[in-house]
Amino acid sequence: MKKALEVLNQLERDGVIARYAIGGAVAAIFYMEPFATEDLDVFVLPPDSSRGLLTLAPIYDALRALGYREDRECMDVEGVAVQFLPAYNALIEEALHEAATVDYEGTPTRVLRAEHLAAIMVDTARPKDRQRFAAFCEQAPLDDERLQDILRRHGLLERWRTWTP
Amino acid sequence: MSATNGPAELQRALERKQARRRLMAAAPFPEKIAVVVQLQARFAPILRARGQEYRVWRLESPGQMKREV
Repeated sequence: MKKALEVLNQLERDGVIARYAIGGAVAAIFYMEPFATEDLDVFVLPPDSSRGLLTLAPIYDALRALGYREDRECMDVEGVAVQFLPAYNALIEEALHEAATVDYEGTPTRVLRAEHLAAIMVDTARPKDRQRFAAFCEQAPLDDERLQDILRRHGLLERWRTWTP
Repeated sequence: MSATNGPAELQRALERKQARRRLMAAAPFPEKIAVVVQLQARFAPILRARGQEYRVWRLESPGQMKREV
């Protein structure tokens, strides 16, 4: 894991990606009890995203040049199945910009903040998101005021209200 | 479990479960990742026997993860 994070940092230093942060199940696990997941979801801002281009091809090319290989929809980076996901909407862009910097065994990395993760679950709204959302709200240190502000600004408040008792 | 102490025993079991969840939630991130890999290793043979592909990560030794303020 540490080595995989070092590779992600290298991609950022080399300008292959403008910014990255861990999202999805692994980010949720940062805040709650661990559960099984196959992939390390990594949200990325490509360097040219300001031009509206959200291609992951340069990331895959750079990793192939380093000797890493695809494993179904992921790249096997130092033994970790990494799935790169472009910041495809304003909520994820904001989450990426405000992600928490953390230290993993001496390697800096970023994890999406708990309130953004919860908002992304509400936005994505798959059955597994709804199931995870309930457990996440019980265990994660959520700032309700901050969460509601994010939900309101991204038009998710009404859906969230139907999810909460 | 008798019929009379059933609800109390169930309540204690739920509280123990909740306490364990809180303990695990507070564990350092690398330790949690180590648990994820243990779960992957447990699930993999079952899922592969059913014909599903399932990945198990390779992991270095767990350490400490600290939040930067």
